Amino acid sequence: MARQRTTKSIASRIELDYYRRTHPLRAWRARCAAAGFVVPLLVLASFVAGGDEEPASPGPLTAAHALATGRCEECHARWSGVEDANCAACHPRGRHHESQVFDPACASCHSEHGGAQTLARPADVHCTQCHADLTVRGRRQSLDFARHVDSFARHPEFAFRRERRADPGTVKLDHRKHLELSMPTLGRTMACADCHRPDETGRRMRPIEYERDCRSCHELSLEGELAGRRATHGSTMSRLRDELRGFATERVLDPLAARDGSAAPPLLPDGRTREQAIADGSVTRWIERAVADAFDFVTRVRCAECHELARDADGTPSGVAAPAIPARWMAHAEFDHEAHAPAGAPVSDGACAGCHAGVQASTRSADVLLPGIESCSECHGVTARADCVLCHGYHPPRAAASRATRAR
Amino acid sequence: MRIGRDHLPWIAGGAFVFGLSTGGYVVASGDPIEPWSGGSPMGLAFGIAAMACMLLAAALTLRKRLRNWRLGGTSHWLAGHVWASVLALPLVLYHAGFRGGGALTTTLMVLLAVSWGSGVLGLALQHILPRLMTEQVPRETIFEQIDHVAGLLREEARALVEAVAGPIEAAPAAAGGAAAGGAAAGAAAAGAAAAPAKEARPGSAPLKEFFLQQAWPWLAAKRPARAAFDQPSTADVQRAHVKRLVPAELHETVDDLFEVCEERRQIERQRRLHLWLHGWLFVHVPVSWALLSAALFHAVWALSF
Amino acid sequence: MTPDPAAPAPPPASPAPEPVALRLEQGDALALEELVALPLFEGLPKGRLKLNVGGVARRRLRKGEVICRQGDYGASAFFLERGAVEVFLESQVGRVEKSGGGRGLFRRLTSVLLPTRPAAPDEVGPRFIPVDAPVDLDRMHPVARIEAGELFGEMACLTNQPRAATVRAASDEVVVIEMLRSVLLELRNSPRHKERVLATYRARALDQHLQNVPFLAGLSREFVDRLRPRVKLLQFEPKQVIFKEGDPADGLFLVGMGFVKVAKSWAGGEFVLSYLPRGSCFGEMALLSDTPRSATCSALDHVDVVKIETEDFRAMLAEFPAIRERIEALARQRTEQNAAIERRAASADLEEFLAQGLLQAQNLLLLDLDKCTRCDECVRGCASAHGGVTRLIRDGLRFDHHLVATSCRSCRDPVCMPVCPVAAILRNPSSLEVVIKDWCIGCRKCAEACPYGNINMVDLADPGQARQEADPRAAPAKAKLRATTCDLCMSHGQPACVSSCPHDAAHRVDPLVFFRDRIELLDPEASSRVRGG
Repeated sequence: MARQRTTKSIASRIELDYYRRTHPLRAWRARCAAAGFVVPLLVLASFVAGGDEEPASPGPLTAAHALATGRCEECHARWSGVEDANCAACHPRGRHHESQVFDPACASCHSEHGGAQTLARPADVHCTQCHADLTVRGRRQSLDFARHVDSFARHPEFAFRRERRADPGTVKLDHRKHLELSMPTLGRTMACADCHRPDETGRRMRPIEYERDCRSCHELSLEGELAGRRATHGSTMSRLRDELRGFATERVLDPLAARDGSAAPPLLPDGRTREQAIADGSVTRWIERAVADAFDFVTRVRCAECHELARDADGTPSGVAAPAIPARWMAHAEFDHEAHAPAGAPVSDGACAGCHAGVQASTRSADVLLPGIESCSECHGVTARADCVLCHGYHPPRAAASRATRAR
Repeated sequence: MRIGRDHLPWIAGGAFVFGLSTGGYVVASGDPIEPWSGGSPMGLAFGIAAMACMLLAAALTLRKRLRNWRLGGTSHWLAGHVWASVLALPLVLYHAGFRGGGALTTTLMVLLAVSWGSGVLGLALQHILPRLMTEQVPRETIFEQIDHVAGLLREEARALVEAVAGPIEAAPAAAGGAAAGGAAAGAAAAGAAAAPAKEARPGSAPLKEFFLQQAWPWLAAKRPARAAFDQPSTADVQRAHVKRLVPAELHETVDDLFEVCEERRQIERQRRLHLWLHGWLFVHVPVSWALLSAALFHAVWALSF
Repeated sequence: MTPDPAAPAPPPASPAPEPVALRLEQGDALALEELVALPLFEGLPKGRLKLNVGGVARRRLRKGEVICRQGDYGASAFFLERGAVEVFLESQVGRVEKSGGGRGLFRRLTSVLLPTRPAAPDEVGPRFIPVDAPVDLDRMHPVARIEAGELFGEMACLTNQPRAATVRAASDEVVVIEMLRSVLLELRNSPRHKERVLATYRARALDQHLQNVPFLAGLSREFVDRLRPRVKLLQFEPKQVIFKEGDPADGLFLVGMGFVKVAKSWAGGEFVLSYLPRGSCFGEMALLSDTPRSATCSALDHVDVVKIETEDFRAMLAEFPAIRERIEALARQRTEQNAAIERRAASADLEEFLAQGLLQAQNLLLLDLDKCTRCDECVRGCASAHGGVTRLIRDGLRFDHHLVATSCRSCRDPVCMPVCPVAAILRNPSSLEVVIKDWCIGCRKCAEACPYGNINMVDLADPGQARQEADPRAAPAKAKLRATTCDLCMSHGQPACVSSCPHDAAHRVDPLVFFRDRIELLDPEASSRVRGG
């Protein structure tokens, strides 16, 4: 009789309580699962109990803060995050603007644990959270600053351009003439760098100084009786007169016999001796005349060449109008000339004129020869950075900003 | 679990959340300067969402334990487990900004990768192996009872041969607690006469010898070694050979004996296939629990900073 | 001297009798002495009666009280001791357009919404409505009266079909004896009872049944009177064959009670052509053409048939020639139908389907082996829902790519039920699953009878130590065993196995619906009739 397989015969082979006895497979799986749950908790708890909180760090700190690695309490306060007081211990902060609506926490803009990054370079969003729709305290619209700047693309034209300001400087300067002149001493025409020199940081240009930048061509040399002498630049009118008087006096009272080489006391043309001339006042009269001539010359020819003169009621020059050349055109932004000139490359006029267009053609000193924003936009936002902090800063600048803290 | 049409609600929901999250991540992480932080509002949202997915996935254990509460069909819970876990991976990656971070977070990423990968592997196995088993081991039985059934088969084979060849004094194998009771049960299952024949039928000696030499050791072994019975083809050859040695009236017994051996072979194969089908759980379950506990710890610890 | 059944039984001389635990819903339980004394149970072995104490009760009713209601499921039969009852249908006699069963919610809804149409009396359909009583109800006036000394409600009791009609007390003092199936079965075995049943049939039902058969229309009253004493009553057990295909034709049969299965044998199995209810007539075709029987007719459940002998049939044909023509027309029609069925049932799966007995099943637990990961959650879920003892074994034969789990199938003809000596296995009144009651005595007969091994014996003292029915380690005398089987988790809603499966692989299905497109052999009407719906 062949072997029959029926449902009953199959089912009757099975022990009815097999599922109550735990198979080793199931038992081990349960053990491994329990261990899997408990072991990480134990390991991590041991870290916490031992005070080592390094495993919780989500990433390495920046190089400047590297000393705080493993010492989380230096910056973090339990359950309240990174408090400003902890940053202020090393970083004095200062207020951004007295009308600002709210004070963001340090950590809200500067987030650490990102490895090698520039902490001082927060994203634009931290600026635009206010500047995209700028209001001041009291929730009023800002009156002083552009109201809607949410990216470099929407950055307004620079104020001086927008308001078509003229250069308030009173010094008469014709850039074209200067650049066309051929300088025998140099053997070439003048270049921008002959007068405009960068400061020791390389960022800004030094203010133009007479002594350094003008005197080599614009000496206050005298002619006439006081020829060969030079007046000092920058003195008051009275001081100038004094100086001229000094020159004249010297000229008159010098043992000028040296003219013809003899040592005899000089005789005036009419044969009187010096002492006689002094006694009868003709020296004084000569001096005064020489001074007046020279003063007139200096002011009329030399000073007025570049400056506006202030005159008295009777027309006498009483002084030179203050130059009033602005030291900084854009007070709220930083510009780095050195970053824009490739390192090591000679500064040529072409490089300067690339941004300072119109210099070659400028004849009036009222011309503002700084570029507008479209000159910046050629590169920034296209191939170069255009984030807010590249030019602007949130915190008030420190007295001597070092290279290291530049937002590069 | 096979992925089927009934999973569409889960897949649709998951795809929707994924699309939303991807959009959110792309927008929030658009700024190239600012490093992504898991603690930022957006990062935290992703983290919470990922934790919710993991808790939902872990809740499957609850349903399996609390059977009597009848909290809905378990297949729905498993579908939720699978699709929530699938969604958890991108959410965690968005939460972490695709960075490993420090020691703890890197460990969590590794655990997630292993858990997720093993889960996907298990899902794939569940698509392939059940059908494979159905085809390859039609004589399969319950896994935990394989040893017991093997014992019954052994006794059934012995009863088959004893019925024609007289009592056999082969020593019972060490394994199988059901030796004594199994004899009767095995015989009853066989449907053959329980009692051995009083005297051997003529011509049954070769069968008895074959049984003692080949079949019995193979059947009695805990894990049958490679032998002629391993493959159906070689077993057929053996069967034909044995049939030639015995008279025609015993052919039926030979057939039955070889059928028993085939069944034994199949349940042994079933054991191996079953371990393949369930072995991945040894990785997936402990690693997933480790991931969950570490993630919970991470959530609390990170929020405390 | 016949003791008056209405008078209380005389108290025994021995110490006071133990109180009888009533196993029925209402009535006064009869003590053993009373049972033995009843004339109804005369001749029955005392030992059997002793086992069934508590399963017989006496009920007293006033006029108008309802004994059983149409449509309810009941597990008891009734013997009218005194008084009279009336039998009637509560629902309006009519027809609702029906769609094929189980083919979609939309269809079912619309079938409910379409208006009912009361059937005109001469429309297609039997003139007499068969009910579960000695007499059928006339369609025109569906009320009948049953007098004392008659049995009713047997059909519902034996096969757990719903009550066919409502029975109400019609006289002032009505006394019925209500009994469970096990008692009824004993009763049916006694020869006295058989004579009683035949006499009743001849007197009450024969007329109606003959009038019910369409091709026998026109038989004169006088012919029927002549026929009356000549018909014989035959009783058949479930599955017993009435006549086999190929047997010589030796008579015409009318179905008195139960269902008769008409089946043809086919390549290794059989397939069913139809099921014939009470009032049907069969066997006329072969008789007319004098050929061997063309199909096997067997009893599906407990069946009473009334046989009309060949010579009486020939007399019928001779006197009423119209009958012959009608039978011939019918024969042609049936041949065509059978051929159509044979053509449709050409699938190879059918053999396997029948071989595994899946036709019997109304509710199978199928595990889809393409999805099942063999994780055993279904078994554990079942055990959790049943006090730690599983009602399901995850092993068995396969059908297609499904594993047919070893778990109760709610068979159409539950063979576990008749063998219980104390009628502790019942059908749930509303949902058809098999339930094992508390008073199970652990005799294991049901477990042995179940051909699929779905019933397991559990040690009540130690439920964890469940035993196989064939396990010799269990000592029946010592252990208090109890049979357990799958109860479809009716108290929980969804079966625990289905809801525990994580892979959506476990399903409880009706095999005829689930495998419908593979096995087209039964028309839904017949199968729904069989289900008693």
